Amino acid sequence: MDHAVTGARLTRWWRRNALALGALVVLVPASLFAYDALGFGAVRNAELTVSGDEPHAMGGMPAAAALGPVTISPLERDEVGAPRGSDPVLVTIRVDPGEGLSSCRGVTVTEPSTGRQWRTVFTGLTWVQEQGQEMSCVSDAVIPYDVVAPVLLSDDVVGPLVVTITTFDQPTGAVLDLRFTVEQ
Amino acid sequence: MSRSLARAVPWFVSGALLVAAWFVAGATPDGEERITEPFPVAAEIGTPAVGRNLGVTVTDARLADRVTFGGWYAEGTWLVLDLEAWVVHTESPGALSAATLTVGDRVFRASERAQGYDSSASLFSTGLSLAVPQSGSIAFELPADIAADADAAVVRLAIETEFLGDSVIELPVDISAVERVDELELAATEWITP
Repeated sequence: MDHAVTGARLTRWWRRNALALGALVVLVPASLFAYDALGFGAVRNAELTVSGDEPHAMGGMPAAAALGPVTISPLERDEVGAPRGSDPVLVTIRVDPGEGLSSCRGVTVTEPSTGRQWRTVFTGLTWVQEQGQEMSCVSDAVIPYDVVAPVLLSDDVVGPLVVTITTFDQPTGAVLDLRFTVEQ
Repeated sequence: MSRSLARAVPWFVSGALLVAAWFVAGATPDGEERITEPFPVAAEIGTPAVGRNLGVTVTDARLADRVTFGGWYAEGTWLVLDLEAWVVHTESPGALSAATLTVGDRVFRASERAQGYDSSASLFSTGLSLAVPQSGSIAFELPADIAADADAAVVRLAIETEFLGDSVIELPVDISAVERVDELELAATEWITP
């Protein structure tokens, strides 16, 4: 069998399968897009990962609200009534009120290396919030304040950690999971 | 290879692939309804049972004619489980939201009556911790004839409110053989390492 015959057969093969190959060219990227962006119908908020060391302006407007910096500070276990084997901490998110932020809630702490995720402890601790501390964003605030969240981490947690808070902007209906990376 | 044999090869290959696909179809879940089926994790009293995001150790199971918690009480026929529970992967969501007792065709949901008096009277619907397990009770209010029901009884526990597409801890209970007491104080929900 010489090269000319082989070449002709190959050309015929490409022509015969042109339709299927064209479908592959369209469907493979479409599948990747569906898997990554659409999540196959799963309800998922938009996400943005930023540094927890500095404020993040919402939407980039001149009078935009800002969230951050974010800190994770230890709480005294005996003082807050946390159980042995836990590592109680207080997550503090500085909030500068402004446009692009109507409310926020649902602080979680994630350990990226394992995917373990802790949420705010609402009951079971004797921790009491102080003046100037809020548990969620205040829509009519005019001066900066702190959103705080007591969290009961496992005592073997390894940083850096990701602090996530869900933000809402009422006029636009935008919902955003803001993820702050925090060294601990 | 003769020309006729060369033509037959794709047919043989196609036939072989169809037979292989038939075996694969027989060995895998059949139909989209199976996608949401739960993943049962068998449990027994005294042994930890761990699913995708729920860990449970049932430490005791008793029937009682009266259950109490502080100043609250209720008479009737109660199956009370004492257990320790924790989440494995995430606290969000991480509440023990589903707790049922199935006896034959009858399904009983865990009681929330005592929680109306004090939320710590039951682990049912309680947010579980990733850091430290919590101990407490779950109680089922049952008809008086339940101990005479010959059907197999199974307690099912899960994180989501419905048993869909996630691990479900399943504890078989021989109700006719469970210890019966006149009165039982429900265990308060608390950390196992205070």
